[in-house]
Amino acid sequence: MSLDRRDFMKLTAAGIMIAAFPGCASSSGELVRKKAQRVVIVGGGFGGATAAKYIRMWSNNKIEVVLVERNTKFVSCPMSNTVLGGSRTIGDLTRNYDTLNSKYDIIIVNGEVTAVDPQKQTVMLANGHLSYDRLVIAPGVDFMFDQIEGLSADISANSIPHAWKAGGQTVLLRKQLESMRDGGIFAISVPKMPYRCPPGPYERACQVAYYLKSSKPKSKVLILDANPDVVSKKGLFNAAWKDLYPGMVEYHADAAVKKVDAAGKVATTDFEDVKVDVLNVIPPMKAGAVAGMAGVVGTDNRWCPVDFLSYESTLQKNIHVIGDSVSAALPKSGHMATSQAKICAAAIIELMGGGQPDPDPAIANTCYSMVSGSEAMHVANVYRFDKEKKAMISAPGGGVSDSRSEVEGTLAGYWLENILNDVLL
Amino acid sequence: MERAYRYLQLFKAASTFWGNCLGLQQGGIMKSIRSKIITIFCVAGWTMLSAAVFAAPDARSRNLTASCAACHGTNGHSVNGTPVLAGMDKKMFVIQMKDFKSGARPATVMHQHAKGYSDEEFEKMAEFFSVQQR
Repeated sequence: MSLDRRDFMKLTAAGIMIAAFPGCASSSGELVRKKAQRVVIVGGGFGGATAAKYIRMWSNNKIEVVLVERNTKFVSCPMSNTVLGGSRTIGDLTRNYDTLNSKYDIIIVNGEVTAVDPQKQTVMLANGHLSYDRLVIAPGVDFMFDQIEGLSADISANSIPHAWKAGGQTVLLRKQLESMRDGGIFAISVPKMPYRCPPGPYERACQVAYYLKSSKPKSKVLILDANPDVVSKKGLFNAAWKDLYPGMVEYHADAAVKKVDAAGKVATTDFEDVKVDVLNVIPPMKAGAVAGMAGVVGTDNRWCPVDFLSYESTLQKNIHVIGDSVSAALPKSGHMATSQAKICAAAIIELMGGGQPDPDPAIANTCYSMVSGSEAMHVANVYRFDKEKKAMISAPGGGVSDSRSEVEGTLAGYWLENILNDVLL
Repeated sequence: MERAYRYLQLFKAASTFWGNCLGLQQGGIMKSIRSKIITIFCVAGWTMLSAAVFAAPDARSRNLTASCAACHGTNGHSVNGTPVLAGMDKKMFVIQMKDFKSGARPATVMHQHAKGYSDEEFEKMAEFFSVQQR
């Protein structure tokens, strides 16, 4: 983030943007003086940033909102597979948090949470703490590197990218594809459900094939799927592979990658050792680390159980969890995170004002998959609260496209533009 | 909802005012032309203010429409491509949603969303979108 001196003076004078990295400040007290009822939100992705904006907007700016985010920029994971295909750059998907601060007066703290104290209702950072009346945890996913022998965070960052959080690894994977020989093999491993963005790996296979078809047509795309079958938009993806990339995409079911050799680019499943040129291993996932710090992770040691009327944790009072970290039969998507964030925001405003959350929430999800430079298909569903099961259940009538089309490819672009505006502007 | 509350206060004040006027008239010996005019004003005032109170969308309407923003923008203000729902006529919104639901109007996506909501919920959503400024 580049600020000139005048901007900096303006920001520090208002006390609204804080850099909370070690060495930046010496105080270990309250990072930002609390002036009103306060919600602290940890994680500025689709869920967290939406919750921040909507709590401010819907409370008529009465509730103070502090958004803690470790990155200075927002990079959209949705549509980031098109960076691999070459029709978008990572810059096209990158936004800043400035408007959340300037238009909604959201206090943005650029830093990383190191601990949460649910009793004292405080969140610790390297150089101080933030107290809260309610805490919203929206950390997205963390990767379970230890589930795959030979893999680590370091190896993912440098040689076998997962590229399952848009950013540096997306760019690395694109570079690896660019330097791959014609006739090479690109392999992608799909973790067992549930994971972030169910159709994402199959969309990625399409995008890589789209790039290879035009640049390195003798190459192959190999999908090693830990699941027994394609888990999302199956017919549509099978048709795309067959029609658009004939002979190029190979699919292996029940093929969980158990081990990798980073130097030799070898992936090992229960049935085979596969030596490839570019290896893209997407590890199994769990709720982001902050969820563990707050004690809101369920007995599965992965995801966070919540009350779907408010997204308040069933394990800790006054702590809400939204987005990919939630334990639910809801798709872990960007749109779903924003929909959950709004129900959570509405509930927090009600609860802080002595009211009750909406007893019958209904939320929607629309998810496009780009299968070439211009064509896409979607899955769309409404999810409604089931009072008996106390769960969000898919309403009848949802489903997928009849077929991929350029119309939907265009609609996908509109979706991206509108949702990024809704989250950040 | 501050706005609804303001309307309500206004409405109460107005009812008291017109009520007092009527009360005075009722105490009179016979109905004059003047009282008829007042009665007309009273009814008109009541109708207008009631409409204003009911038009201010409640939290339920707002929550139901919130998911639409991914494609149609915050409060229905689409920034590109998809229809702007902000300020859309209530009746038109409901008709279109019902047509998506029944299949009378073909769609790429909307038929699937429409089937997930009740007709009463379409009315609620329509209330919210219709009062958003374009």
